[in-house]
Amino acid sequence: MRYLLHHLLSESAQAHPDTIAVVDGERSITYGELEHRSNQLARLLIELGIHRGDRVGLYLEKSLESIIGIYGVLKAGAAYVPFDPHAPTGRLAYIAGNCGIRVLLTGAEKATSWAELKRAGAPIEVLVVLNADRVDADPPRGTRLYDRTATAGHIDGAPAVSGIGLDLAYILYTSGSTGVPKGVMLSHQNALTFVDWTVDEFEVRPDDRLSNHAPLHFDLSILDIFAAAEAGARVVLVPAAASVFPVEVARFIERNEITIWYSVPSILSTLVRHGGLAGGEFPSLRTILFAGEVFPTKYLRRLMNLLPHVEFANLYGPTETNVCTYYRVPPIPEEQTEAIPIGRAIADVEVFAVTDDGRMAAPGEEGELYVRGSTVMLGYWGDPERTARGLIPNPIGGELHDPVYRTGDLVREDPDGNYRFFGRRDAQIKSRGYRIELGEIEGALYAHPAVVECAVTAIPDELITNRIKVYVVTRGSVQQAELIRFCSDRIPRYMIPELWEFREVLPKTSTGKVDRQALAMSGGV
Amino acid sequence: MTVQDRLRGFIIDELRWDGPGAALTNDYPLIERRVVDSMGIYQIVTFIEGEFGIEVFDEELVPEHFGSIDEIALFIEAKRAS
Repeated sequence: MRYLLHHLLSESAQAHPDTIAVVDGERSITYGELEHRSNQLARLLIELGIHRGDRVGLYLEKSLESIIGIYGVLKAGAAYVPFDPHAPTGRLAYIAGNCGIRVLLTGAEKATSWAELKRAGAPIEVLVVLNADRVDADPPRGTRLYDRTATAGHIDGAPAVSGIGLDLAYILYTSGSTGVPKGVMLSHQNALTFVDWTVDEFEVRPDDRLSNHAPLHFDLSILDIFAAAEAGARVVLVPAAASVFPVEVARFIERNEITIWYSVPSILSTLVRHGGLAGGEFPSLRTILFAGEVFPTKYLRRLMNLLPHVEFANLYGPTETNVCTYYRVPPIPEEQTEAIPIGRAIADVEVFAVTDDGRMAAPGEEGELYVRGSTVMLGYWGDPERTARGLIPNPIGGELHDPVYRTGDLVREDPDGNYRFFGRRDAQIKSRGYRIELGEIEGALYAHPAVVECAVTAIPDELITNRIKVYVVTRGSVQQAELIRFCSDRIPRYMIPELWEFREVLPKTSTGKVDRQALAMSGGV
Repeated sequence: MTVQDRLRGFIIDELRWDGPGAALTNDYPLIERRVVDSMGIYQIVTFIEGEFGIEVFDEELVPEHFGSIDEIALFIEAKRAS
């Protein structure tokens, strides 16, 4: 019986060891090799003192090696923590400290950042370089450095580590409203329930080729990597250039004969607008899945018209629930502008809406979406209070006090049982599929000594969902460029406000809070 | 100021290049090192269209033209010559 994520790899490696598992540019790795090399890595990790339940960081550009890294960590009984390879080191050091990362799997391209990470307080003792046999850089003081030869010296065969489906498999850090990121803990079972559903619902087969567009610290990558492993299919890593140039996305799908594409909608919108599609491209492509934000209806319709042989589905779910609902998109009428629904629950998951006064919302009535089922996270790492606010005893379940997750998303149920998303209860926004807490941006700004007051707001945007605008009150003269540089050391680039307005004072409500509504009105948005 | 310098200035000021200015050489790989992302590319296009009086077509939006500051400068030069 398989109940751990790496069982998916081991089974496919046994069934077809010579089939290609992962493609990374000109390089690829078979299921047999991936199994072999991740076994060796797991043995090295165990020798380095990694035990069941430990957290191991992953800090390198997405590559064959990072996939080997994921499986190596899981086979050692530990949980992997994927770092955004382009995030400021201060943020990554916080993450490493928060979940106690002693061992970091990394790449030679990150050598210049190791010392900075350590200086910023990361408790790292061991660096394992996955992609080079020799590293010229010296390890920072207090750390030991291992290169690829250290892994290759180990014998094959999965190490004997016991585990159950409820064990922690990975932690994904998302934007936190209190100014620091929060770690969403997901178990093997959380991911497997979703992966099993994906393989079943979209009939993923050994001859499928899945794209992997999302970075590994983004939960969309779970589908690509593990659904491919379960089916014994091929996953093709999307190179950086294909994320930037719409024409390259088209070339990538064509050249790799991708059959299942999964990404945030914004890249698909730019493919429609600038990809030079004439219609009828991509004969191999059969399924396009998207998630993370609302797909502007007019671009979705255009893409569907250009690719009539492809099925389209909207997947929805906060990181805390993997994916919890889905909607297969029927042909969209020409005059429709309304966004498509988020749909209904996936297998083994239940969703319902709860009104402000705690009742189950009737169809058509607005409520907050609650999710119950085995895709729902274990909690937030090291933060029982926040966990208790997010995972609450089922309010509707009678005697069954199993935890349900409050998404904070406001929804309404259509008469046909599909849910529609309307907005958030709080100050969380989406921009280009990234989930952003406006409070985290404000937290970064307030750390600057010259910032007296600030308010970050979201301006709705058709293409990227939201643009970020900040109103700042400063003491003395401080340049916008200086504040941008200051933010760059603390928050990822996609969180840095695009529009800046300097004010003498910010408008307040009667309770003394910043009046965001007044700001939005005065800002002409 | 050369075309390269104007591009460098734009990347530093508008695309929020956070490294030292001197490191942003004319052959620095803009795409692989994620200096330019999916939004940044359109900011560059808008900038060079306005600044150099050229029009960039969708099919010209390829890594060969935008891989480095030098490549962008060559592309601008070729466009202006045609």
